[in-house]
Amino acid sequence: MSVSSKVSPCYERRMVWLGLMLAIAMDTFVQLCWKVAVERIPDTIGLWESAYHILPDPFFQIALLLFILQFFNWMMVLTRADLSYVQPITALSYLTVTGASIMLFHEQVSLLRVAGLAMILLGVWFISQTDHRTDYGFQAEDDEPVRTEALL
Amino acid sequence: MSVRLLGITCVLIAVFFEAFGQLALKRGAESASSQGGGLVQVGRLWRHRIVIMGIGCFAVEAILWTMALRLLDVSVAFPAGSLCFVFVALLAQFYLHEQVGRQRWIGVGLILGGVMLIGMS
Repeated sequence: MSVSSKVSPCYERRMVWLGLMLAIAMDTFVQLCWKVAVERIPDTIGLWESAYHILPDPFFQIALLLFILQFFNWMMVLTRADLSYVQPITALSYLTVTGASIMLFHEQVSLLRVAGLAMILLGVWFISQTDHRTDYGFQAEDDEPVRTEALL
Repeated sequence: MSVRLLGITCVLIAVFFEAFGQLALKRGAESASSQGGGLVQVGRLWRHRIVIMGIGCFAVEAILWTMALRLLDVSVAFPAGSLCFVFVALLAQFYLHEQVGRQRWIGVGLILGGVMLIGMS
């Protein structure tokens, strides 16, 4: 058995959601910084010149740093929960990015977009009602290393 | 091949890489934490080839996605890209043996529909 099974499932679930909220927040910031950085590139220049312009941009550097932090946070989340539980929940970033775009860039939001966001929210609610981790039991846990090797 | 078809092909291959990248990271996370409980030992992550493979998948995906966005309108690329939610759930069910179940599938379906609506808006 894994060590984590000794910790209460409630605590585990809370840690999963903490990680998810961090992931969604960082994802939102990455996208916003990215957008600001990309919009600062002059329109007419080519791909290599774009790279030359974007690399020294502090917004791009912040995005890159958050991207790296995001990776470690995501690995922590994945140790605690099913991939099919956490991955769809990250779709919540569509909501936060839209919200931030309205506030920061004063973007207009259509009714169709609101309907889409509502559907995502409902979908996330459905998933959040399921167990965050599949209980494999003893048998499957013994198989685990073998399957990992096979994939390698 | 038309530009549109080429763009959609790019998106679909990108989705494929995203899903396999996620699968690889999940496997890597499990391997790196098998003795340490919930915490990933950062130093140990790099010893797992599968983690490097996962990162490689995301790098390829980023290139493909950039190409797709140059070829396609966001209103096409976005809905096509949302297929990745379905693909990840399928891989999780068959490869990781996660119990996806009806309720999670409903959730995934709703999210898919939601992203499609956003793409059309």
